[in-house]
Amino acid sequence: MNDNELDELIRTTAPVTDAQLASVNLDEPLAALADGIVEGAHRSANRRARLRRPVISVAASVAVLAGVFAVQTNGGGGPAYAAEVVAVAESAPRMLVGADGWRLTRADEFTTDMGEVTFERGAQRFDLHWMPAASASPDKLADESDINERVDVLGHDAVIYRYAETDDYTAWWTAGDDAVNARGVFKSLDAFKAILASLRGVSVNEWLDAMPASVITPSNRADVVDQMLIGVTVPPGFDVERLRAGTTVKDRYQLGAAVSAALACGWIENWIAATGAGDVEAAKAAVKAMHGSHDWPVLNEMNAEGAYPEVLWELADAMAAEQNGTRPNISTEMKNARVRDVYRDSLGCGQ
Amino acid sequence: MARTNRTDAEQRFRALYSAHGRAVLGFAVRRVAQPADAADVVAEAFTVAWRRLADVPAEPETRPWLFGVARRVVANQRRGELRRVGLHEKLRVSLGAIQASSPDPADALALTQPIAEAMARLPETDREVLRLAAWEELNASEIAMVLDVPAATVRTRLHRARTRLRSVLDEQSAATRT
Repeated sequence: MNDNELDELIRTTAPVTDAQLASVNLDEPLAALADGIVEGAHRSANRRARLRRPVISVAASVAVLAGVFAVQTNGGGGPAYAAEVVAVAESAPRMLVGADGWRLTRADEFTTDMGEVTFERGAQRFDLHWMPAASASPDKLADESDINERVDVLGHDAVIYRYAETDDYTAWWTAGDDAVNARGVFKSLDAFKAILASLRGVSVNEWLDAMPASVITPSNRADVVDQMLIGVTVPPGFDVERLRAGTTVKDRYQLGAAVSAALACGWIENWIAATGAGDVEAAKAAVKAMHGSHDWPVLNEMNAEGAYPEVLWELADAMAAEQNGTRPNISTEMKNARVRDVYRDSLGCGQ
Repeated sequence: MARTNRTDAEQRFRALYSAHGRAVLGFAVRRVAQPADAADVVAEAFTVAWRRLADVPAEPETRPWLFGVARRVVANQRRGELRRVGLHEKLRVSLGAIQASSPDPADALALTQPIAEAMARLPETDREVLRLAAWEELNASEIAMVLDVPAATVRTRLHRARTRLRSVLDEQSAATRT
């Protein structure tokens, strides 16, 4: 069952469908509501102006693409971990939960600029996100929160918010160039404050040691690259030595993403060049090779762990559709994008 | 507010209400106990949108932003105050007719039961990304705006949720055969 078929099945679980809504005449009541909001707002504009909280900041949403799998290579680092991983760790606000029973369970999305880790204790979750301070947008929360309390977190002035009448707490603070967002559902404000108070700053090595095993797994890169290339179709001009000779160490998933990116980027670039040159046969060969990516073992292994294969397969399907002059039968934003406009960011080409 | 600014703001508000009002209503009506309660959510969400008109993002981010607001209204259950104001009584009454126009509940149950059961076995975080993708036909970036998490997180959650759902459906299917 593909994604579209699955979505179709999920659609049957909707308690009310758009068709049912359309069967009721809602034009007049909806118009009356709009009138009521505008007129009511005009009447109370002065009062509301006095009550409105100041806006902290408005920023574009943080852009995170499939390229998160390709950690940047900034050099430096100690002997225990790959240089690129150390570079990420050095740039991150490294914190661990000190309260008993909590362990770091997820850290699969970070770069030198931003990241997200999850701590868990039983069914409880506590998430830490960090991002450039300029990208942070706590204003939405500030406006809708029913609490606004300041606490100290590792020497930083943090503000705690809560989505009104829920137990969903969020704390925001700034640490150097980073804005940090801590979030979790807790039974009380005191419980949330307690976990914030238990946060402790740690060294690069202690932070990396706490990561789940899947994050950093040194391996024999050349051998693994060769193993990952079994069962794939290599594009013309493919530089296997560059992949084999990489000096950095990634975990298996990340290395799989790098190998897959080199293959797919190569095929897509061949396809674009062939299309531009009017070489229909070469263009079709590239489309066929990318279609074959559905069977690449490296991607099928990765598919259990993350969404990179899905992104690549969507591009492969979109390529075929563009070649045939049809719309791709996919449900994501790629449906409306041209492959040549999105593939580099989506796959992390050249990283 | 000066008359000119007020008119400009009102025009912008009415444009976004016209473009997204029904979508927000659809989003809300699928997440409340009774269809009529969706009127409270729409009224509150668009009151927030009017109040924060300067913060409402431009297209194509407008709808996910509104869904995000509506989602929090549903979660926060702070709808009693507006109901007393009576801004949306007509809408409540109209939505009350939806149950009567629904298909036979028994038929609907039979049609959706295995998938509904499978969905029920997933964590709520999985269910919601699946609903947003299927019911509201949002892409990963839009879901990310609704849930206020990075798009990469949504991609991963969506993929895992679909994988889990297929696995549960396979288990159900195998159990039925034995």
